[in-house]
Amino acid sequence: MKKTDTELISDFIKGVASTLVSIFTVLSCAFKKRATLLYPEVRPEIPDNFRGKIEIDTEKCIGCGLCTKLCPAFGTLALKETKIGKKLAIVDISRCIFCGNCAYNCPKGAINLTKQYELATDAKKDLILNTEDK
Amino acid sequence: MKTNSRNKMTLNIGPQHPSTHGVLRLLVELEGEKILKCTPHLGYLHRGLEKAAQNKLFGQYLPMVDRVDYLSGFFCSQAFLSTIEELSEIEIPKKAQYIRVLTMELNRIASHLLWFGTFLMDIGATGPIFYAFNLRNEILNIFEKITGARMMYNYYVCGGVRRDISNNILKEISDFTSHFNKKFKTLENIVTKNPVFLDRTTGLGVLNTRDAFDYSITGVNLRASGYNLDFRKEKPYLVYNELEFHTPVAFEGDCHSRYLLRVEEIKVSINLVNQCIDWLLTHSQENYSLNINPLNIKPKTGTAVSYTESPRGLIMCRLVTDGSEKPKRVKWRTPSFYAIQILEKLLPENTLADLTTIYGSLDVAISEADR
Repeated sequence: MKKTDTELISDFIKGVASTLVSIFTVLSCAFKKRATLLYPEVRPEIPDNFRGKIEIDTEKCIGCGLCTKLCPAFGTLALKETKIGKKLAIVDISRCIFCGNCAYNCPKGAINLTKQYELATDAKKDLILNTEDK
Repeated sequence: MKTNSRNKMTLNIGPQHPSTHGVLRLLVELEGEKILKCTPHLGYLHRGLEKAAQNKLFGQYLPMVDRVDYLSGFFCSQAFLSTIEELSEIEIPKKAQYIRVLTMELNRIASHLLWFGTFLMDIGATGPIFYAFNLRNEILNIFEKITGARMMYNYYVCGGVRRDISNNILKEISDFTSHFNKKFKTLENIVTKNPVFLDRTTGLGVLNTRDAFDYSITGVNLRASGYNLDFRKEKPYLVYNELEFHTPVAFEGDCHSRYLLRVEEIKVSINLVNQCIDWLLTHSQENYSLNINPLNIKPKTGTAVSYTESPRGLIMCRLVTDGSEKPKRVKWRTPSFYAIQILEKLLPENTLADLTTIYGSLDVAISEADR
């Protein structure tokens, strides 16, 4: 269907008007607060509930193995016999999916979710937390 | 790229292509610039989430459910948990239901905002994505405070939610919603009436109701074709029957009406979020979870099906149990899988440049289609 001249003119005026509105909107954003952070100099605020790298409190761990049962990523958590007879967990962070299931369900609160999120490393051994070493 | 005859050409798009926001592969048969045939290929993001359920405990499978659709994780959690709760005959506390609706509606807004940015990026407008992501970031910050993660929440548990939402966070959400419309107006000013945008989307990729039914299209894509089917109203779950909201419907079925409906749906969700906040502020002392030990989740033998209206359409989860602590079978019915199939119907007779417009307007998440 071909448009009449009046329709074309009204379309043209509407187009120019909306383009002007959008240009004005975009330009007005130049005076607004900056949306990005200058990472790594400025870091975002991490909330208390944040699920970062997990940490194990060996004093509290009783070796019940609940964390290993509920971990969805097989091979992340493992129990180990130690000299003191306790079974303590070993964590392979490279397999961890940071779901927090282990910490949420630990009966003794031995697993903490820290605020660490910068975990990149060039050696895989840095990602394995062996509680026996401590 | 290979030539079939003098005029026809088969072009392979994807699986890794900037405009196929996931790993979708399309084989397109072209004559000049006109598309003759399109064959979508799937399976590049298959993680075996249905099979993985069979050797995991219910509590162990829950964090993985968020990954079915990583852009709207709460909906998948809700779909899976409601099957367990149906089979175990658990009724979750009212406060938990309101918290679930609140988080799901915020998630819907976040998902639509991401779609808003990427859809316009597909068309060639590179600016709006930054405005959309800026708004979405505010929602993700709220989620981070509530759940501890920005995308993979693991927040819903069997019998409620993991932790309460404090009044401070509720106030923060209400601050966000009160300023949202003003901020969202910026995006609409840039896009909705833009003559180039109108030219590129109006009357393009028209999906009629009959075809939408034949291909099992649900959600906004179906409602844009003139059929009002919203599972929040059709089979109300949680507290949706206590909340007041309308479902926007359009009749044109083209890319532009799909755009307008999603924009409208964001506003409906903001209204729903406000209603939930009002309820939660007056019931701050109530119980939010039944505290069920995840090792004790053992639904009775049987089959349960749940219906959840996600941002992309209907998510169905079918759970078959044999009375043990592991699921016997989990089946996901995800809306993007059907939205990809309709491409073979919508694309022919359109030009290659319109492929991304039509594909983008359907709001497809490949993670969800492949699961």
